[in-house]
Order: sequence, then C-alpha cells, then structure tokens
Amino acid sequence: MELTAKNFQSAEEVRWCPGCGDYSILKQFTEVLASTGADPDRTVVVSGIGCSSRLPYYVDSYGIHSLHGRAPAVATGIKLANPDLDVWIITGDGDALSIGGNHLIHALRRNLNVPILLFNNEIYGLTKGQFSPTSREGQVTKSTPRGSVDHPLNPLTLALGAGATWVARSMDRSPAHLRDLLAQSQAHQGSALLEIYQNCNVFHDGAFEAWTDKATQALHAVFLEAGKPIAWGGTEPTHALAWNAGQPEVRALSRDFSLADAWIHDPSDRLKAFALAELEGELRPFGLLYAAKRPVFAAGQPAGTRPLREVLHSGRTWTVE
Amino acid sequence: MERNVVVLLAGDSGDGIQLLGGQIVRAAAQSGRDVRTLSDFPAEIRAPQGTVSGVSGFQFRLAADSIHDPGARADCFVAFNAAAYTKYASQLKPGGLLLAASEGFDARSLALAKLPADADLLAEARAQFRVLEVPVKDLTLGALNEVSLGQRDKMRARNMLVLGILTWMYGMPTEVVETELHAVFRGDETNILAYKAGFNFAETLEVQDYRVALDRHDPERGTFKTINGSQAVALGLAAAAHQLGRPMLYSSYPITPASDILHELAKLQPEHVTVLQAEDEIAAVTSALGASFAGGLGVTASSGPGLSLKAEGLGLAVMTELPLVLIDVQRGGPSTGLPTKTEQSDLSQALHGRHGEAPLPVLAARTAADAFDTVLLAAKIAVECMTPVILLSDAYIAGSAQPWRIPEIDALPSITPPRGTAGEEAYARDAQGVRPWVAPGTPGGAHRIGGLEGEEGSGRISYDPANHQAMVRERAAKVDAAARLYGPLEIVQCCPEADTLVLAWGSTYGAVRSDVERRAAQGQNVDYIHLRHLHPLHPDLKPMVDRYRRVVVIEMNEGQLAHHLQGLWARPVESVCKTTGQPFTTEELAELWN
Repeated sequence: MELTAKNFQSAEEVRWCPGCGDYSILKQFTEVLASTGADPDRTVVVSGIGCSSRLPYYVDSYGIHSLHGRAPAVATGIKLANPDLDVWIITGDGDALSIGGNHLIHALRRNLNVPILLFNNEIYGLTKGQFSPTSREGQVTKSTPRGSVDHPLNPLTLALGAGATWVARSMDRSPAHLRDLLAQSQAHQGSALLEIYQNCNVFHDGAFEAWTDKATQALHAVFLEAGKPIAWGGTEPTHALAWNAGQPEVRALSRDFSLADAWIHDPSDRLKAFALAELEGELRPFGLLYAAKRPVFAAGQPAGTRPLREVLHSGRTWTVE
Repeated sequence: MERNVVVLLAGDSGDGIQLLGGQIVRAAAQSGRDVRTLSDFPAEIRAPQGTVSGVSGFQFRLAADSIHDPGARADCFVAFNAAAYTKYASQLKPGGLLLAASEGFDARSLALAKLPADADLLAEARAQFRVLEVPVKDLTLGALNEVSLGQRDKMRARNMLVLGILTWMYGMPTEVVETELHAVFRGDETNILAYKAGFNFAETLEVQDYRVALDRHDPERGTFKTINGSQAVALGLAAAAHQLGRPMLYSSYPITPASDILHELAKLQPEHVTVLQAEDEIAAVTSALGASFAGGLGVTASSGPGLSLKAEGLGLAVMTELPLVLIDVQRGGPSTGLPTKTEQSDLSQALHGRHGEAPLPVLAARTAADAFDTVLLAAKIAVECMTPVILLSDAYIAGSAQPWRIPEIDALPSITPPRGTAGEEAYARDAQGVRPWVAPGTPGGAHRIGGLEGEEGSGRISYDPANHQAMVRERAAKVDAAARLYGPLEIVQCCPEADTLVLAWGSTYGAVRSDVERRAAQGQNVDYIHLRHLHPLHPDLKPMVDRYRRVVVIEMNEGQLAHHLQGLWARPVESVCKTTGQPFTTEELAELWN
C-alpha cells in the first residue's frame, strides 16, 4: 500500500503558535516521507529541545525528543547500533549552534549518514524571545533591549568549515523548493545540513521577508541550480554572479554581460560554496551549495567480531590442572 | 617460614616502574602465589626527571595463602633514585630491606631531588634498615656490552635487571618470566639480557641473605590470567554483550582513570561491541542512550568531572526508561582534584546528583575480579528493568592487578530483554513495572518518547499533576524492584555474639576484610557486610542491621554512605573515613576505630 502524508501524521495535537513557519515545514516533511517511499517502521526522527524539536511527536514514525543540543549525539548512537535505520535530525538555531554546537560539528566531520534539518528563526522561541546565535547585530530581543552586540554565526559556512558533505538552504514559504531539498538531503550519503529559514511570527516576525515574500524575493533570493548560471531577478533574470579573481561579483545582465558569461554553479566546488555561503547581505543563496562524496561514519565503525571465548582468553593465560 | 612479603618499587616515572610491577605480578600469579597490587603514579606523563613530583611507585604483596589487600608497610623497598627514597622511605618497615640503585644516589640525583650535596641518604638508611646497594646502571651496561645501542637506550632496560633480582629473591620460576618477556618484547633480546644479568647477579653474588622463599599456596583449578579493574570491566562488558546477543555501544570521552576501559575494548574487538570515542562527555552518554533507543545496550564510562557532565543524560535515561550502564571510575575530587589517586567521593552524586526525582540503581565493585561480575549485574539490571545503572569503581580498582580465573561462558548470568513486539503502549508496565523495549525497525511499533513527562501507559505528552505524581512513583518503584535480581545478601564475616557490624563498599574490601579478620583473631567479635548494592539497598540489609548495637561505616570520603544510611534508617552509625587519595591500609584501620 502506498502511504500518503496523512499516514505520517501522528495523533498528537500540534501545539505550535498559529501562523508559525514550523507548520509548513512539518507538512512538507510528511509529504516527502510519503513521496520518497519512507518506511515508518524504519524511520527515526531525533530532536533536541526548542520549538522545532517538538516535530518528532507529530510524525507517525519512531521518534525521540532528547536533550537540548544533543540530537546529533543521540542520532550517532542510533546509527551505530542500527545503520539500516533512516534517521533524521530536527534542530533549531539555538539547539544546533549554541548549546549543541560541538555535537553538530562532530556529526558533520564524521559524515554521519543523517540529514540535519536546522530550522533557523534567529530567535529563542520556546523560552520566549531571547537572541540566538544567528540573531543579527543590533537585534532587539528580551535579553538585548538595547540590541544584540554578538556577531551572528552563519550555519552554512560553519557546516562547510566542519567538513559537511552536503550543505543547502531553503525556506518555509517555498513548499516545492523545500520538498525538493528535503528529498535530496535524504538521498545524500552522509551528513546533509539543510538550513531552513523559518518565520517566528511571535518573537521575530518577518525576519526573512526579503527572501520569502513574493514581492521582494526575486530581488534578493538566488535559487541555485547545478550546471546553470547563478542568476536572479524574476522569470527573466536581470542579474547574475560572475566569478571574478576569486570573488563573487554582482553583474547586471546586458549586452556586455550575458548569462553565458555568468558563473555556472558547480556544487562540487568547495571554495565557491564558501563564497556563496558568505553572501550574508541582501543577496542570499538558496538550494544546494555543496555536495561531495566521502565514506559515511557508521560504515567505518563496525562492531567487533571476536568470539567471547577468544576475548576472555586473550593475553597471557595459564592453566592449573 | 614467611607467608607473605610486601615490596615497594619506586623510581622516576620514566624508569618503567609500572611495567616492572606488571611483570612481577604475572610471574608471581603463574607460580601459584596470590598477589595484590597498588599503583601510585604522577598525573603528569613525564614530570621533571629525578624530582620528587616525578616519582612513580608500585607496591605488591606476594603470599603463600589467599590475601585481600596489597599490605601496608613494605618489607622490601627498591629505590631507583634519591627522590624515590625521599618520598617513600617512611613506608619501609624498620629493619626492612632497602635495595638501592647506586647511581640514583649520586650528586646529580641529590640535586634533582633538591637535597643538599653532602646528604648521605644511604648512611642514614643504614641506621634504620638493611641496605643492599646494587650498581644497577653498571650491571645493565655490562650485560648489554655487545648490544649496539646508545647508553640512553640501554639504560631503559634497568627495570628488567631489577626484575631479575626480584625473581630470584622471591623464588619465582625464571622460565615463566622469560616466556613472558619473550612474549612482551617479541624477540628484542635487550630486555631479556638485562633480566638474566639481574637474575644471575642475585643468584651468584650478593643476595643470598635476602632471599625469601614463599611456598606455593594450593591454587584453584582452571585457566587464569592477571587482570586489573579496567580490563575486568572491559571483559565484563564483552560478556554482557554476548549474553544479551544484541549490539552494544561503548561510548566514552578520554578521562583518567576511566580511559583504560576504552583502550581495552578498542583492542579486544569483542563481538557485538562498537567502540566510539565521543566528542565530549555529554555526547558519550547521549550516544549510548541513542544506541539503547535503537535496541542495543548503551554503555559509557567516566570519572568525577565527567559524571557531573553526564547528569543531564542520566535524567533523560530515567525519563525515557531506557537501559544504560555508566561506569564511574572515581578519583580524588572535586574538579580535576587528584586525577590519578583514588577516592569514593562520588557516591552522593551517583545516588542523588540529578535534577528532579531521578532514582536509579547504583552498584559498586570491590576488586578488579569482582568488577567483571558487577558489570554483568549492572547490564542485567539495566536491560531487565529498563533503567540506567551506575557502577562505581575507582582508581585503585582500575589500576590494581590480581590473578583471575577465567569463567566458563555457560556459567555467566542470563540477560533477558523485556518484551519487544508492537501492540503495547510505550509505557505499559509488566508486574515488575517494566515497560516494553520496542526498537525502531519493529513492524508496526512506531512510537515517540522523550524528555517531557509522559502519560501513564501511552507515554504521550502530559502535564497533568496527578499523572506526574503517578509516573514519579512508578519509576521509583521499578528501580526498587531491581533488588529481585540481587541474590542473597553476602555476609563476609560472622562472629559469635557480635554486637558490632562493619559496613563498607567498593575498593576498601581488601583492607577492611584483613582488619576485621585481625580483630576477630584477637577476640574482638565484629561482623562484616560489604555492600555491592548501594541503591536500592539489599532488602535483607535493614533487618540484619537492626540486630546490632553498633554499626561502623568505613569509606574513602567524608562519610557519604554513613550520612545516607542515617537518613534512610533514622539511626546513628559511626563513620570511619578518610580522604587522602590513598586506599586504607589494615594498619591504619586498626588505629582508626575501636
């Protein structure tokens, strides 16, 4: 029997705030589980603590809502005990980048074979409105009434720097794009870091409007496609990036600079992936920035095979008759 | 005829003192002597050479009969240098034998030990001890005359020269030692040449007067090896994985003195066991818990500071009711404290150190060999009761070696997981309060668990006050019911008409047992129970304790078990304790209470 998204929705009442971006992400997630033929008996959703981390309760599969920041470590243990399981990590900007920063970078460098969905809303929602590691300088929150002085972390450069083998970004407001990347993240062999811009309509409403709102998206959001020029501006692109002396350069498309002259996106190029990830201003990339092949973690970490008798008798022994 | 002898070896931490000690232990055990050891080494890998802070010590006691402790003051003290002599001279009995390496008492050695240039330590020593000066350096270099190595490398065989002397002095069979050395050094003759030179030196020249021939005691039958506490824990875990027949994840972060368990398991590669060196202490416990959620058994280990970091993970294990074994190899604390010294000061943290109402079983191993059995019990309780279990060991157990009879696999205890098929609610309880263990991959078994309080039965999120009260008590009752797996309460010593009961736990076993046996021999009737189960206590313990007028609790902390028992039992107990980083000796106990 073919399963639908409904088959992956649990009976638990969904308790996010009305209007939260998490609803869309949950919907796309269950649809992708259905469309990719996921087996609910072998699917395990692991989360830490925070609004995003409530997601496993709402998915009818195996799930564990663990400790703040520790989902990658819990998932590591699950994969080592049973590498055949399809494990997903659900986390947020505070969970993954603040209290759980260490576990995240080590899961990435080990290439744990798990997609990591990082819901970034640039705020602590569940604790009701403190600044997070991705909050912007000057952002006014409950704990920064005069504006945050901390420089924000960029999840994409962090992931690339940690040795991630798959790095991408999507958003709650573009369901088709999000579904596509969720499916790709699941198909990747290794740790896949998918940053998802997620609107917190209560504590940081409109944070990503420039990139998610239909009216402005074309001006600021660059949707990457492998083998295609990096261009934006609408159905007919108006601008493109050039790779100029090792730097991205924004060029208006014209007779002098056509799409044929633009930088062609190559997700296997790590250096250029860094350059794209570092676009932190008005112009930001979405889609797959980087993908590489490297042996996955659990495969290099098999269980021992020596029989107990041999183990007990290993080393120097002597027998008293 | 002497029945036992206590020998203390001390030198620079680069002199190979621990290696020398290990060789003697194996030789002694294989030649039918009982042996117990005590290591004392600096926390630094290579503390400044020749200084008092860089001294490494190894004490062993050889006996014709069964013994329980490494003895107190030494009959023989092998001092490799002036610093070692300065640090340990007071440990040698008056009239005992000081075996001094001549070159270690020269002007340079005195300067390194910060002693006056005109100090004549050996002359001072002669006033109190029998002194045998051995030119260890000259003998070693002489033995290695034909070997093409630099002097520095040749000098590394000094410890083997001393091994030769001691092998002869204590009448151990040289064939056994030589076979050992061939196995250890794999054809490198340097160490064996030095060993033989030492043995011949002792036999032919100087040492006749100092020989102590120990009888062989009548040994148990079976196949033996020597193990220390770290090896015993690793073997116990291998046995537990075998008995469970499911994946075991051993996940830990390097910390002294727990790391040796990690090294052992990584080396042994037992079936079913995966070893993970985690990125930190928290990842170690949470990855272990992940493995348990996936249907395997998660195991982690640490020492004091790491136990603190794992407290949150233990809370999640309590809440999710998953099996987990945590081995705490205690050391001197708090903080970094005395990382290579021993203590029992994590007991309160093991019993109580979690947020919320989070009881869990706490066990303690008494010796290296006992650690094997106690780890198996910890794994059995964890799996059969679906609970995290803390096993307390300590630096003394981890590092002390003893002969161990390798058990038959058929005789190992069973470990039977609770029911694991779909169809029951996640927190449905059986008669013992145990919930099912349905691993991901089980058809139709999909369910969610987590750190939020769950509803009785279903486990769905519940903030209902009455439900929380009920779940708190159900979790505690399930842990209390773990006592069904304990077996009978063991009474170590039972004297006629005793009105005093001694209670102790963990690595104090050897010293306390020798102490109570000595008291009984002198007519002081004292009964003795050594606790393996610190929570829940053995159900027969309290009725037993009620029969005594006086209860004396002996432990290496400031009275943590004594305080705990007084609270539980609302009756006074006497606390005999110390926190010096060193194990009790029998001599010391004789003076500490009466």
